[in-house]
Amino acid sequence: MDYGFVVSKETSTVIMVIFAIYSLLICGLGLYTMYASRKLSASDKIANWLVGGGNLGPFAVCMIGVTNLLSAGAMIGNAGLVYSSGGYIVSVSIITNTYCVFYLLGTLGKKMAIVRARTGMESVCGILRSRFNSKTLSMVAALIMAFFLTMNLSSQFMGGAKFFAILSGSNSYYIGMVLIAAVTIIYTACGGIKSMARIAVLQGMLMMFSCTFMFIVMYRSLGQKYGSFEQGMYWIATNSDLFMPSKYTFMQALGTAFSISLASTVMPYSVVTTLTYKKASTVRRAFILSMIACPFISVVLTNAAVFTMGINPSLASGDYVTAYIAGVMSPKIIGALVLCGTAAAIQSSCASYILIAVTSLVKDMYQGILKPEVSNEKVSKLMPIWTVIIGVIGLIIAFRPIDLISIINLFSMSGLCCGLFFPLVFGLHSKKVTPKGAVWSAFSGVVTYITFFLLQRGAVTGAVYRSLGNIHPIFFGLVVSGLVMYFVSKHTPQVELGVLQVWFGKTYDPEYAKQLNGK
Amino acid sequence: MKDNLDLNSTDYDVNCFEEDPRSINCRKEAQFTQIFLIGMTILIFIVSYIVGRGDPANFVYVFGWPLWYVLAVAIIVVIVAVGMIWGKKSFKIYSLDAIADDKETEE
Repeated sequence: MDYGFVVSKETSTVIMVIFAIYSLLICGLGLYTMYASRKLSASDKIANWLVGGGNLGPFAVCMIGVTNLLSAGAMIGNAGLVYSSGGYIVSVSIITNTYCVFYLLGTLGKKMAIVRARTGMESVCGILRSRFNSKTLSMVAALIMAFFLTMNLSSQFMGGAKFFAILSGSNSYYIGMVLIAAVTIIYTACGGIKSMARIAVLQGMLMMFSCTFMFIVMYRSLGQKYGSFEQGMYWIATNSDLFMPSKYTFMQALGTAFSISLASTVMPYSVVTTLTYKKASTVRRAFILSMIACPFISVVLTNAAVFTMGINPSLASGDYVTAYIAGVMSPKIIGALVLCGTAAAIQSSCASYILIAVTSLVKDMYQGILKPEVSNEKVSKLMPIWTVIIGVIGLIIAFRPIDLISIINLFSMSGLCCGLFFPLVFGLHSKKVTPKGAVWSAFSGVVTYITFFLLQRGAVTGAVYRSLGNIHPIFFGLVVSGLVMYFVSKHTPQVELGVLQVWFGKTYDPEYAKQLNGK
Repeated sequence: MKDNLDLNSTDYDVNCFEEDPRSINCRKEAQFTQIFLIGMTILIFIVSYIVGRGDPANFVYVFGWPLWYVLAVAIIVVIVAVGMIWGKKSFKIYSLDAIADDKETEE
């Protein structure tokens, strides 16, 4: 297969040996976490598995947040999007994810921790169920999350498999896909988020190193090829359209920013981060650490993608940018570390998606709604089994790869945002949102988003859609979701007073709070 | 207060119970965060599209980067700085336990 470049056999061998060591280390950490928590009770095990026992430190909270937010296709998908179609205006959209953590912790952080202390909720469905006391909303939210997260999971596997196929020299997409998935599933099944917290520190550092190196190597190479860096950039400016903001319409670029930054903050894998600590000081420190780490990675990575255009404008797909830098432009050992960093990014995303999907299905739907009498011991045993099942479903979808994985990434993030933004953010802070308002808001937001997404991508409707300003479908989804929530909430019964007291009251009934979490 | 209220009622005034001051504070912080960040995002793109109009050959470049991009990143840096200062100075530290202490305590 022609990728637009070739990785030497010697480079492939070195890269594969280092990647094997990294994979063993990651799996070992997961197994160690499982061994270390062997004496915990069943309920403690579940809490550990889901939210790290709710007692993580600021650095771990920051690293989970950063790897969750930045790794969702960032290492391959975002670089690919910048190289192949978006250029610097998409780079700006991506860098706005800088303040995802600002937004997440500022909007949801402390309130979520207080309500967790009252209800003991451990998942996004749990949050919605306890706020609206509605099984319908729990089911709708679980289905929305399962659908969009599985789509996103498959795109991560696609990205990892493409990357592995090139750097291993095997050209085997399927071997890469299975290997990346296997490592992720093993360490997630072993340790849940506690495993993630330990590994996130390693992964976050690897990502930062990889991105920094990619930036430096491409900056220097561009300067060497054209005589100076400035001349190289001028060549890109005049021989491609990567420097033109007008490449995207204003509403398209703004929508892309929202689907990356605003959406990231209500992603189930981000929200669950707010359940991993007990102190406001942890929130604050994690918040400040994240504000440094996020922009750094986004800026250097997207710039490296632009520089690649000046060095090799003939890559077969934007998704090959990172593989090209690692396999052709970098020394072998550094290339291997870039592969490990990218694998870390993919694995941490996948682990989060799997964790949330499994929690929604096993804890929220199965134990919370369908079979409340099921014991915690059984739930604790079911979690790892369902981790494997969800992972395998993601693999099956990934068997037919698409050209740019960022299309699936943005689709799933925007879809989740349209479904969850209003019920979560407004439900958390407004006393006037009713259960039916939240249900219809989630449902209508998703349906509207998917409808406009299909209109935008349709062979016939696409041309008309683009001629009308090519407004990003996320705007339609959010506007409809918000309006529906407002009007339905105005005309439907409020949630029970006891629920509102648990969520907003200075005092509340502890028994009522336990009921809300199905305990 | 809860003794006088029917907790299963769905027909009541939402202000019939005393609200947790931490909840009010969280709402204020959330409002500030949302308005500030959404406003700044829109500003970033307005600046980008105004300064980045025309032919790239005629753009102003700063050490190789187009001026509009440098400005956009600069605004993001300002947001980061504001976020950090706000996080340090105004982000209130209080107990996140189920029941608030009467006096909010610095940790």
